[in-house]
Amino acid sequence: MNNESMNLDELYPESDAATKRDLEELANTISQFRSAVHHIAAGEDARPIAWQLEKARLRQRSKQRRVMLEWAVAAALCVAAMVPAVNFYRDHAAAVRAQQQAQFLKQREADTALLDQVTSELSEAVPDSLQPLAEMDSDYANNQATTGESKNGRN
Amino acid sequence: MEQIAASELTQLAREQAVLDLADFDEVVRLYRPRVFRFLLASLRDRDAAENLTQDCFLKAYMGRRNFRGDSSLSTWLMKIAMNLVRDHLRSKRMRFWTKTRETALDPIDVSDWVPDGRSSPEAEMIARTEVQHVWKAVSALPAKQREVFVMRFVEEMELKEIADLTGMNPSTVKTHLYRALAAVRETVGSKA
Repeated sequence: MNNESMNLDELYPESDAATKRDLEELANTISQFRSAVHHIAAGEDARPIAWQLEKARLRQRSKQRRVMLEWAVAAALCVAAMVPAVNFYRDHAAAVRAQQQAQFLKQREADTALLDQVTSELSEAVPDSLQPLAEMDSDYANNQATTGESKNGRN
Repeated sequence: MEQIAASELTQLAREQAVLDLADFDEVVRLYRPRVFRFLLASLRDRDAAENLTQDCFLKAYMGRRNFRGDSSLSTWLMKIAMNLVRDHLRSKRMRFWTKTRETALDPIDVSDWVPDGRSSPEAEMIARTEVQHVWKAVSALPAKQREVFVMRFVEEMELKEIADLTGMNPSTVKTHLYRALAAVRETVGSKA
């Protein structure tokens, strides 16, 4: 029983004979897979450590630069995308402001007219308290005069 | 008394680990194959594995002063490698527009390395095909399952070590391993 079989037995503790055989085959295949990976890795030639670290350092620097560049491009794109939006917002805000201004002026005109009307009505002279009596008296005098003339005419 | 002895031993182990790290050439020589194998099996790309191995040792070299010896040197390096794999896969997903270089290992190339010693050419052929299927099945596994599978079956790490390394619960590791095996088993079984 190889190492993989033991590993698989841990995971499938209650398996019947057929499953065990099946698992043993799988373990065998995995063992071959491991050997293959080990062989490929062993085939890689290890260059000097200093060279490897230097290469990694250079790659890290270029990666940092690339990331910065990407952020810069992304920021530029964002700004480019925001310019029309800002313009649209500015135009829209100006239109709304003008509309509000016009509405305010109209409202103020209406208010002024109303105030004028109120003022003019308030400033009208208050009639004399005996005015109705005087009016009645003058009406009576007029009637009398008219009646006298008609009588004279008949005579 | 025992407690003192244990703490002294731990301290000694830490000092030893830090001393080990001081001789960095030796560290690279010792652990490079393991790190490279893990990266190769995880990424299935020779160039990427090579680059990330170098990055791993550069990170270890830069951070060697922060290594406190809480875990073994091997576990520490594997943790760096694991994080590099995660970053690499994440950035690869994010950079979907960049063309990946064709350095990915072909399953057929992998099967060329199946150790000889079969009784017949037919048996050898079957073994090669099965290894190709395992390689393909491992490639198709979700990242975490693949990680755990490679650690267990390529690097032959203990479940507890994998749990420490990945920060997962041992039972979660076992679940991932179980699912990974089920997927591999299904692929190998259905293609057989």
